[in-house]
Amino acid sequence: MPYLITRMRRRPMRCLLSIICAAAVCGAIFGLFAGERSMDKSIDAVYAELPVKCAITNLRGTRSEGLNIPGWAVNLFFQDERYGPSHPETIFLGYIKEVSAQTSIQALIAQKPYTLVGLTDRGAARELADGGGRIIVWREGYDESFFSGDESGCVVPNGLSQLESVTVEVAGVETVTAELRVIGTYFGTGDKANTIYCTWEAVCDIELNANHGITASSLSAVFSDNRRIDEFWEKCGSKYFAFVDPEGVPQEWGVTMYRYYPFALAIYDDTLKSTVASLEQSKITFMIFGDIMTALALVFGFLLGELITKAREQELALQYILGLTKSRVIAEVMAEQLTLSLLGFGLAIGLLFAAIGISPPWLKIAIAAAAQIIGFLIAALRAVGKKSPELTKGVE
Amino acid sequence: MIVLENVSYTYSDKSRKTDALRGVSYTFEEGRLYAIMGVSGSGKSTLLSLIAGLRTPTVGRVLIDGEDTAEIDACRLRRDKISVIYQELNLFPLLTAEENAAYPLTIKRTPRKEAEKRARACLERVELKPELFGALPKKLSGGEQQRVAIARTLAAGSKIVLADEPTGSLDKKNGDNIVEILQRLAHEEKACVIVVTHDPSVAQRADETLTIVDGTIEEKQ
Ligand SMILES: Nc1ncnc2c1ncn2[C@@H]1O[C@H](COP(=O)(O)OP(=O)(O)OP(=O)(O)O)[C@@H](O)[C@H]1O
Ligand SMILES: [Mg+2]
Repeated sequence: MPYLITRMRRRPMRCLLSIICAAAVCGAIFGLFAGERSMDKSIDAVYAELPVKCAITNLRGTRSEGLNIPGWAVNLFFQDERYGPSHPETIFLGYIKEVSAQTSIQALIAQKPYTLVGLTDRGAARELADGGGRIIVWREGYDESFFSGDESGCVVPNGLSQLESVTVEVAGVETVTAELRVIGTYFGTGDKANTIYCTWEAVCDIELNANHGITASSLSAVFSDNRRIDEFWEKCGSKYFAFVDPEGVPQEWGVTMYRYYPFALAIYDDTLKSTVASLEQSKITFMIFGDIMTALALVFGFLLGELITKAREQELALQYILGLTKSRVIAEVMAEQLTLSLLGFGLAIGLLFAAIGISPPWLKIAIAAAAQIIGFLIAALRAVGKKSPELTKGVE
Repeated sequence: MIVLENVSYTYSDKSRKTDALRGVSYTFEEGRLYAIMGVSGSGKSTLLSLIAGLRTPTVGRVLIDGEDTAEIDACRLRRDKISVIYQELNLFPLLTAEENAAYPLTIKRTPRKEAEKRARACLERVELKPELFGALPKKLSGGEQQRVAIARTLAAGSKIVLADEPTGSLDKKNGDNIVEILQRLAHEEKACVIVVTHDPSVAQRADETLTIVDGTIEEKQ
C-alpha cells in the first residue's frame, strides 16, 4: 500500500467526509438503540412503580363492597388458619402485598346497636381519610398506623368520645363480650354515625369467637410484582375466582363452581397494559428505524463509493496502467476506506458512549459496518470491473 | 521486441462495429525510436493499447519478447516491461514529482529510501529542476509533468515505452526537449520507444516512421 497515508493526508476534506459519513451511520444506529433501551427502562419503571390492584368482586365485576366473602377466600390473602382452610399449593402471598380488607359485625354497646368495622391499615387509610365532613381526633400516642397492629382499640363516633373504653356484646352462635380501648374519636354526620372502627385483627377475634368463622365485606390487594400478574392468574387466581373482563361480562359464568363460590377477581391492570403497550410501540419504532438505518448503511456505502471512485477514476486508471492488478487497485481503495470508516465508527461510538453511557449494540454496528464496506466494495468493483481499456479512458 | 502478427481490432458497440485495425503485421526492435503518424481515427491509439495489453486483438497475436499478450497476465507485463505515457494526466495528482517517479519502485516493494534515491536520479536525468521534486503535479507545467512521467519510465526500467502524443499539449521548445529525452531513452537505455504524433518534426527525429492509414500500416523510409 504505497503512499496510503501520504495520499490520505493530502486529501483531508475527502477523508473527513468519509469519517463523518461513517460516524453518522454508526451514530444513528447507536442513537436509535439508545432510544430502544430508554423505552425498556421506562417499561421497567412502569412495571416497578405503577401499583396494580386486584379485588374480589361479585361475578359481574360490578360490586366489590358489602360482599360476604367467606373465610377460605379471605385466607387466600392472609394465610391465617383461623380464618379458614389453608391452600399451600396456591400461595397468593408470593404475588401480592398490601392487602386491604374490611369486615363488619353488629354489636351492642350499652344496649344500643353499633356496627363494628375491622380494617387493615390500607383499608383504614381509605375509610378514615379526611372528607365527608369527618374530622378525626386521635388520643395521645395514636394515629392511623394503629391499624397495622392487632391491638384491641377502636375509633368511636363523637357520641362515645368521653369513654375510656367500650364494652361490646356480639351475638352469633355464641354471645361474646369484648372490651375495646377508645383511641380516637371522629366528628361527622351521615350513615357512618353508628360505626366503630377497629383493627382487622381485633374484629376478626371477636367474630371468630362469636361465629367460629369470619366473613369479609371487601378484600383487595396490590400486586408485588407486576410482571407476574399473568402467572399469578394462571397458577392461583383462576383456581378460585371467575374472570371478569373490563366490561363486567364474566367469562366462565357457566362453571358450576361459581354457583357455590360466587366471586370474581377483578384485576385493574388496564392502565398498566395501555402504558406498556404504547411504550412497546415506541420501542418497536426505534428498533425498526435502527434496522432501516443498518440497511441504509449499505446504500450509504455504495453512494460514497460511487462518489469516491468517480473522483478517483484517473488515479485508479493510472494504477492499472502502471501494472497493478485490478484486485490490488480495489484493495488499495478499500484499505483507505476501511481505515476511515473504522475511524468514523470509533469516533461515533466513543462520543456517544461518553455522552449516554450505555454499551453500544455491537452486533448491529458490526452489521452496519460490514454493510457500508460491502456497499463501497460494490461501487469500487463497478468502477474497476469495467472492461480494462474503459478504465484507462480518463487518461487516454 | 514486439511482434504484431496479422493483428486486427474491432470495437463492437451496441449499435455498430468499427474496424480500428485490419491485419497489421510489424516488428518493433529495441534501441530504436519509432514514430507513428496518421490522420485522426486511423487507429494509432488502438495500436498502442494492444501493445500495452490493455486490449487484446480480435484477430492475430501481439508478442512481447515472445509472449502472447492475450495469454499472459498483462498487468505483470506493464509492471515489468512496458510504460505508457499519454498526452496528459499521467501523474497521481496527490503525489509529488518525486513520489510519482518512485511509484513503480514502491509497488515492487523497493525500500522507500532506495526508491526515492533512484527516483531523484531519474528526475535529474530528465533535467527537472530539483526545487520541483517535492511539488504536486498541479504546480508543474505540461512539459515538466511529461518529464516526470518519463522519469517514472526510467525508474521502472521499462524496455518498451509507448507514448501517445506526448508533446501534443506542449509548445515547440518543450516538445523538442521531450522528444530528445525519448530519443536518448531509446539509444542509451536500449529501449523500444514508440511515439504516436501528428508533428512531422517529431517524426524527423525518429529512426523509423510508420503511417497508419485506415487501420493498416504504410511503411515509410
Ligand atoms: N472505445 C471505443 N469504442 C468504439 N470505437 C472506438 C473506441 N475507441 C476508438 N474507436 C474508433 O476506433 C477508430 C480508431 O480510433 P483510435 O483512437 O485508435 O484513433 P487514433 O488514430 O488514435 O485517433 P486520434 O489521432 O484522434 O487520437 C476510430 O474510428 C474510433 O472512432
Ligand atoms: Mg489517439
